[in-house]
Amino acid sequence: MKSIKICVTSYAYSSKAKIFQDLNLEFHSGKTALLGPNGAGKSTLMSLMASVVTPSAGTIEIIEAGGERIGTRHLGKFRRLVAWLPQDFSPVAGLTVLEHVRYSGWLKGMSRKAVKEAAPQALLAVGLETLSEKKVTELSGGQQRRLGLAGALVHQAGVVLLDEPTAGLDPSQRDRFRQILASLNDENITVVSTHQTEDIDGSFDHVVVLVGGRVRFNGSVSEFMAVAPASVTDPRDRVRLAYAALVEGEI
Amino acid sequence: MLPISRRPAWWLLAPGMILAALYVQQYVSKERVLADAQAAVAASGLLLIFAASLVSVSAAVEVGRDRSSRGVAEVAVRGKIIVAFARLWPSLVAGALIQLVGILLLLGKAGSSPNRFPVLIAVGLFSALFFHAGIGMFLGTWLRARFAVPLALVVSYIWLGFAWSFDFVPVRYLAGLALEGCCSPVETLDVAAVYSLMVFSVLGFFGFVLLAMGVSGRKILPRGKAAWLRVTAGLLVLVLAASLGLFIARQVAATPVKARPLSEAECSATVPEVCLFPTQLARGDTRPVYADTFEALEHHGMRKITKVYSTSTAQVPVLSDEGVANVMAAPGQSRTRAVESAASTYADALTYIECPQETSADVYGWAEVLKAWSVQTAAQEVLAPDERAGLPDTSMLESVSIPDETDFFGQWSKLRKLDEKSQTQWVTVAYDRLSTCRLPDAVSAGVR
Repeated sequence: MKSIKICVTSYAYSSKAKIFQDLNLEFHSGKTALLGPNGAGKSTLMSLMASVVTPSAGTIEIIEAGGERIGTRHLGKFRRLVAWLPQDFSPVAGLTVLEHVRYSGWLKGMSRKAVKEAAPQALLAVGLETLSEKKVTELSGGQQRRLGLAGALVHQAGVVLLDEPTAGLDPSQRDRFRQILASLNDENITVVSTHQTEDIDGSFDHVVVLVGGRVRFNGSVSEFMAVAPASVTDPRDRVRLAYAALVEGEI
Repeated sequence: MLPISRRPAWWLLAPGMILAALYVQQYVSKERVLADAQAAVAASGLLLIFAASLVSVSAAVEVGRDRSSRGVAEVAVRGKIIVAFARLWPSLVAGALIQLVGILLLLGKAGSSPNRFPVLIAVGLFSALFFHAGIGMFLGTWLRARFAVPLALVVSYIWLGFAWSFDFVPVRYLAGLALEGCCSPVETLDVAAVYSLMVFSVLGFFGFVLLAMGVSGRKILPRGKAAWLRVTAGLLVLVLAASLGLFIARQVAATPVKARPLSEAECSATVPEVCLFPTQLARGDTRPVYADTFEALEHHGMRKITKVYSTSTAQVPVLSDEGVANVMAAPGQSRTRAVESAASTYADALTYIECPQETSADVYGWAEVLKAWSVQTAAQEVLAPDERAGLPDTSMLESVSIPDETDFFGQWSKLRKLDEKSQTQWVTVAYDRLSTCRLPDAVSAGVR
């Protein structure tokens, strides 16, 4: 069992726009849905965990199963353990699908040999193996998102951060993503920020609800669903109502 | 890891090479670089116009690709310098190849040369490419590709053009194009010009790298102090690069050359002794022709020449009181041109005398008459009839005549009609008078 621990004393865009204050949160192995309305700070939290941005004050560290702690101070080591797919993923122009995944792996510190072996596997995992010679700019939005996921996963990270991976995708592409998500190793820490509450039951182990930069809920899926009135029996309705209850006034 | 076939530098390489080759073939004369490897490599400085623009443009495209992406380069484990190098090396290699092709073509024009391949000039020119890679990298990081790419081209060109034409001479050497002014058989490189270029280019590159690192987190808020520190450091390094470059080049002349030391000259066993540099001798030894010419003119009453140099050293005037002559000797010079060069020495020396303005036009005209006489007289003595065909046409004296005053071509015609002794007498007297800014009597008036 490993975890990523976030202790952000402060993070702000400017002195007037504080996003987080005294945020303490820990994600464990398994799949966690990070829910919250727009502006709740989900993407910023993902960026913090991906080490794309650093908190004004505080720490973010990965605690390995053996107890070893790797903080963002050791950026290279930390980033080797993290895979990040931002909501607005955009591929590097001028490359084919396979070349892009190889480049992503190389950026993550993989050797040329290792990345040559791993790239086809990563494409296979996201179902893009037949498009490996296609230019990345010729891919559809959903295919590009999967390409981003392949690039994020190619170095076999232990922490997978997917920011709104299905936003704007058509139903078939969403299904595809659900399948990919289901195939991810449960020993990894997988955090998926999403608006799609209908997927919570069955796809995730944990739920975190973020509202206004504060954690409104952090627990298992069954605990989350217990927030909904007991009279509601349909799981999808229970998730929807639980979410509405937790962010009441926020959506 | 990025395939070479996807790199913009690769696509731009062929047109860049073609342009460079065409430029060399069309605009660099063979005489300019003949038998002189140093001049040939230096002449390739002009090719920075193509090489540097390729480097800056392809660097802007390369870096712009990472800039426009999201979720790929931001979380790189590899250092920014390594990623930047992976992006920039094809641009640098392509630019260097263009430069190299130009150098090879120019060396081909130069042919075999007694001087060694000037590694320093080549390294200096290659280092200039780093500066332009820095320009492309910074602009590609800072701006969208649609602005960065054309701007990189414009900035590269403006920098090359601006620096080259700047009146404050040391600025010229920061860009590298001015190295084109080096060298000649009598002049060698002033190494300070190359050191200035190298220091400025390499430091400037790091300045741009720091600037690029400062602006690379533009999408990320808050920007953080580190970004501003990098921008400030980048600007400071650029200022430092310019200051150091200017300091190093502070004593370089308008062209990056110094007179070749006379100790390098190889002297003949002739009378007078003629000393030429190895480059001047590389396509044939004209020293006997120079010696014969001066000897022949001495027999016709001209001053005795004791030693002959061909040098740009200020200490050796065209003709000294001690009888040391300074001639223009080029590699591959024909016997005809050598006679002309030697025989012109006396008249050329007169043009360096500062005479009152009211007589200067006349002094010049009479000096041209003397020159025509010296050249024709020496040619009669030294050259075979067929070699004399290449001598300059004396009708050009009509162009220096002063209307309603002196018809120098007419005077020359009259001089040629005099007997040999009278010619010698008139020329000797005329030369002495002109040496002190006094005008000679007209030929028709006879000899005093």
